[in-house]
Amino acid sequence: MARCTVDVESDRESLFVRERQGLVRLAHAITGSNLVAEDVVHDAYLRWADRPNLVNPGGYLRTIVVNLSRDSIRRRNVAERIRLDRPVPLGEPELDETWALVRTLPERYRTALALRFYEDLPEREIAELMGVRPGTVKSLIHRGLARLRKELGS
Amino acid sequence: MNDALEDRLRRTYDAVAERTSVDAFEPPTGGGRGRRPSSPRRLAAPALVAAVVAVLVGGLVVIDRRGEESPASSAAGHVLPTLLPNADVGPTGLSGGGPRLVSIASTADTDVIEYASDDLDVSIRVDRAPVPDVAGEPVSVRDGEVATVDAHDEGGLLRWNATNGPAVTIEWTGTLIGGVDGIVEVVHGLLLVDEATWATATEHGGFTEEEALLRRDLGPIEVFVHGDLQSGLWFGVDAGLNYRGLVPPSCVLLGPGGDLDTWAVMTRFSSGTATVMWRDEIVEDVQISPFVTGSAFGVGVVERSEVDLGRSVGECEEAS
Repeated sequence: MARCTVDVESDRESLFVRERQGLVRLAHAITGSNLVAEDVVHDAYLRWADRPNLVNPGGYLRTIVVNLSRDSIRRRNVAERIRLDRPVPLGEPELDETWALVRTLPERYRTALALRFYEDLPEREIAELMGVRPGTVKSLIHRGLARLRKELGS
Repeated sequence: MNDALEDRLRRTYDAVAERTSVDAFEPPTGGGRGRRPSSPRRLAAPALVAAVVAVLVGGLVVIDRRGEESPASSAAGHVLPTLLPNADVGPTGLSGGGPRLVSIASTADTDVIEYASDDLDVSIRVDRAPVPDVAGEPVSVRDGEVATVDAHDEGGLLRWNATNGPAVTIEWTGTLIGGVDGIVEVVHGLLLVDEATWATATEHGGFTEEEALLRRDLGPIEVFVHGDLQSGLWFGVDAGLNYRGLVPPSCVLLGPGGDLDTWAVMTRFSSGTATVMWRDEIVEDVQISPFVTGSAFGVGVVERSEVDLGRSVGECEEAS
C-alpha cells in the first residue's frame, strides 16, 4: 500500500513537472509578470498537492492557476509587484506596445483575452474557468479588444 | 475570421510565452507548505519591491489574524441581494427594469449569483471565508465598514469583507448608471441569511414561487419576507389594516393601526437592539425580536403606549 501511495505521489509530481512550464506561461499571460507567475504556480502546486483524489488533476491544476492569477492582480500588494516588474522585451516594438497595454487592462479582460488568444480556449471553457456565463466571456473579449483597438489606434 | 488585432495579440502572447523563464522545480518538503524559494532573478529585484512586500506582509498578517478572531466567519451565511444597480429601487428592490437573474451557483464555500441586462452584467460572489481586498479605492459601506472598489469605464469590482460575515465580491461589466454609488447601494441592500433561508430562496432552480421565505408572528403584527431573486424581495409587515412593505435596509415605522400602539423597527443587523429616537428626542435602545437567525437584519416590535401616534422613529420611513 505504501508503495502504491508513493507511486501515486510520484505520478502527480511528474504531471506537475510536465505541466509547469505551460502553467507559468499562462499565469504570465494573465498577470503580466514572470515573477508573480512563478509564485502563482508554486502556490497552485501547494493547494493541488492537498487534494489527492482528483478526477481530473490536470484540469484542476489549471483552474487553480487561473484563479490565483486573477486574485494576484486584484491583491493590492501583488498588483504593486506586477506594476514594478518590468515587462519582458518581446523583440518587436509592435508587440512590446501591445503587451504594455494588455498589462494595464482590468483583470477580467486580461484573463478572458489570455484564455482566448493564448490558450485558444472556446468561450464555453473560458466561462467555466472564470465562473461566468459564456455571454459574459463574449462581452469581456469584445470590450477588451475594443479597448486595445482604441488605445492602439487601429 | 481573425482580424489584425487578434493576430497581433496572439503573436504577443506567443512572444511572452517564449520569453517566460521558469525556475527549476523543487518540491516543497516537510508537509508541502512553504513559500517558493527565491530565485537569483527574484533576489535581484529592486529593493523597492522588497519594501513594498514587507509592508504588505503586515497587511496579510492582519487578514490572517482577523480570520482567527472570528472563526464563525467561515461559517457565515449566504447573501440575498435586495437592490441592484440600474433597477427601479422601491419596496421590491429588484423589480422593474435592470438586470435579471440568470444563474445561481452555490458550493460549500461560495455562492455566485449572476444578473444580466443588455447593458449591464452583475455578479455577486460570496466567499464564506475572508479573501484579500482588491487593489482599489476604499469606500464606506454599511455600518461604517470599508470595502475596496476598482472601477473603470467598462466595469469594475467591489470587495467587502464583512465583519463576522462572508466576503462579498460584486463584479460588473457594462454601463453603471449612477457610478460606484450604485454598487455601494447594492451592498447596503444585501441581506445575510442562514442556510435554511438560502435554500428556500433559491429553490425551484433559483426561484421561489408564491411563498414566503420567512414568516414570523410577533404578537400584534406579523412580519414576513417573500418574493424571489428575479422579481425582488418583499419585506412586509401585516397588522390588520396596516399591510406594509418595508424597504431594506432602512428601519421602518409601522403604525398607527386600529388599537395598536405598536411600532415595527427593522434594523440592519440583528444585534438584538435597535436605537430609536422619538419625536421628543428621547433616544432609547429597545429590544427587538430576531427576525432571521444569524442574519444581518432584525425586525422587532416596539411598544410605547404613552407616545403619540405618528411619531417618527429615527430615520425610519413612516408607514402610515
